[in-house]
Amino acid sequence: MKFVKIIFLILITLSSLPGQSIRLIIFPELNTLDLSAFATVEELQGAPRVFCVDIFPTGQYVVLEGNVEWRRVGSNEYEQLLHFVTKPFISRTLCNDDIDRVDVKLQDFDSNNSLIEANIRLGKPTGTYRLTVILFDSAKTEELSRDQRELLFLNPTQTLTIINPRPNNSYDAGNLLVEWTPVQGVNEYFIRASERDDPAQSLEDALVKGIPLVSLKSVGIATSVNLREILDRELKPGSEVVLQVSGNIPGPSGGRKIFSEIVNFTIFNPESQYYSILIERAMRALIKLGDNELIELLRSGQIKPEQLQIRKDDGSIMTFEEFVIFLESNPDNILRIIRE
Amino acid sequence: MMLKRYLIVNLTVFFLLIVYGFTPVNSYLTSTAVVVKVIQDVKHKKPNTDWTQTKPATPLQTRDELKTGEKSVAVLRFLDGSTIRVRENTSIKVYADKVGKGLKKNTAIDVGKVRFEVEKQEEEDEFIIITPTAVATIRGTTGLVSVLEDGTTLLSVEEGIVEVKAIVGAGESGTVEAGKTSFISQEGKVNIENTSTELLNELKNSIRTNERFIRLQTSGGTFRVYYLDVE
Repeated sequence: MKFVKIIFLILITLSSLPGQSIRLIIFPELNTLDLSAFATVEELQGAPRVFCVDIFPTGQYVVLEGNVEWRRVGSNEYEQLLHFVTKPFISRTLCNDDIDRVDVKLQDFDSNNSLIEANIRLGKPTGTYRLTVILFDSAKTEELSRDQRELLFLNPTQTLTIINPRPNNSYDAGNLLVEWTPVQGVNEYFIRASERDDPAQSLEDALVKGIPLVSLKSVGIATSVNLREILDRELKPGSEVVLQVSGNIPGPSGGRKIFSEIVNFTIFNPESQYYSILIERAMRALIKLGDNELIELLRSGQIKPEQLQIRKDDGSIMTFEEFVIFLESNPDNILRIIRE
Repeated sequence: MMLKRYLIVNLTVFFLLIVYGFTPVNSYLTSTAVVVKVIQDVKHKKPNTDWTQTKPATPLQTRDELKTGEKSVAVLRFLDGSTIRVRENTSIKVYADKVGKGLKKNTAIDVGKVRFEVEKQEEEDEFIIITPTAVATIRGTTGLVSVLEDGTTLLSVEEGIVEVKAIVGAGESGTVEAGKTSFISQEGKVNIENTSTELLNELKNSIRTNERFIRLQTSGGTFRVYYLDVE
């Protein structure tokens, strides 16, 4: 219902009446707006003020009919997400946080719930949304005006984002920290991970049908976890893993689930040649700073790269491979190494 | 007796006010530039003093020298807001002369590399960079000056225009525009070409004066790898 309200308010902003004018004020621009942010608050009036619309003149009774369609990325066809008709309401200046505090109510409503669920599972607005609004007089006998707009989400923002591991990177089996962005309203996060044994398999298929490694395990409200601590099955060196984080937002009918994108990454094989080459490359890059204790410890095998926790001063995580590439690509900008 | 003591105290206060009240006790006010950032080994000296380790917020006065060591950087801000980023192994001397209503700011580079970000100069003001072979007049321009050990000067301009003139030998001159680099030889010849990819990378790199670090937690202890990032 909340989703309907969001779409409904957006549609109101897009409608136009003959002889009337509408001025839409959006913070920020609509094409960068994360619509799913609305799904994280229980009531829309609790959401931040994202947009307002000025309708001139005010005080006229109107009825609005709307249709929302969605075209998946790569598809040519639109599928209907929802359709609605309002009860007569007085044209006015509206903001999204005015919802339920104004007399704009729905008369009819139908939706494709499986398609809406598919949108939510993507965790972000994706593809193209086509919004059509038709404005009628208060008796809904005469069409006054209609408008249509397509919203293309090429580079959308993500509500629940996995910070680490990063797609297509390699990680050590013993030192794999899963970290994601916190989402307001979530009372429980879940991790699901599987082994992708067939590269032809889609990430979604691999998560569901691959060899299960973590089968939807709750981690409470933490926003990071060591994967090793929640594994149902041992990670295989050299294998590819797919992982998704989901969150539960409590509410009526069991609440709502939000999902991160699925990330895929590989598990380092300490025995592999690539791994030993990487250690050599690290030492070659570090030696340019002169002899230092870190190189000595690496050379003597007293510290193993697979046991390293590497973070930048802003808290972001680096893999050992990324660290080596960073050293190699910034030889003139590396200043010194010190022991804390 | 009381009146005499009262007069002595008042006269003393008056005298002190005359002596110190009109003397610029804050050297910052009379400085040419201020060192706003110091990374690793940076030293400065006055004409008659020894080298001193430079700390951030050190004011530099006319004829003061500054030098950077290996992997070291200093950022200087002039009174008009212009900035120079003194890269590693570089030695400079700063000057400022009041001429009429204007202020002439000179930076002499003996050896090394300096990135300049010069604010638009008023008609009567001047920002000049002097090297062993050239003099460059800069007005609202960004770029990089490199002075090699033999005095050869390379001047790459990123934005704006720089007038350059050889001060040795043939004494040639030229105008260097954005995307161009001038080579001023020991013979006083000025050759202007498109900035090479290598020099373009150096130009980009020259803005890196923000010290950051990467933290490595190991079973053998925690290490920090410090590096230069863009501001």
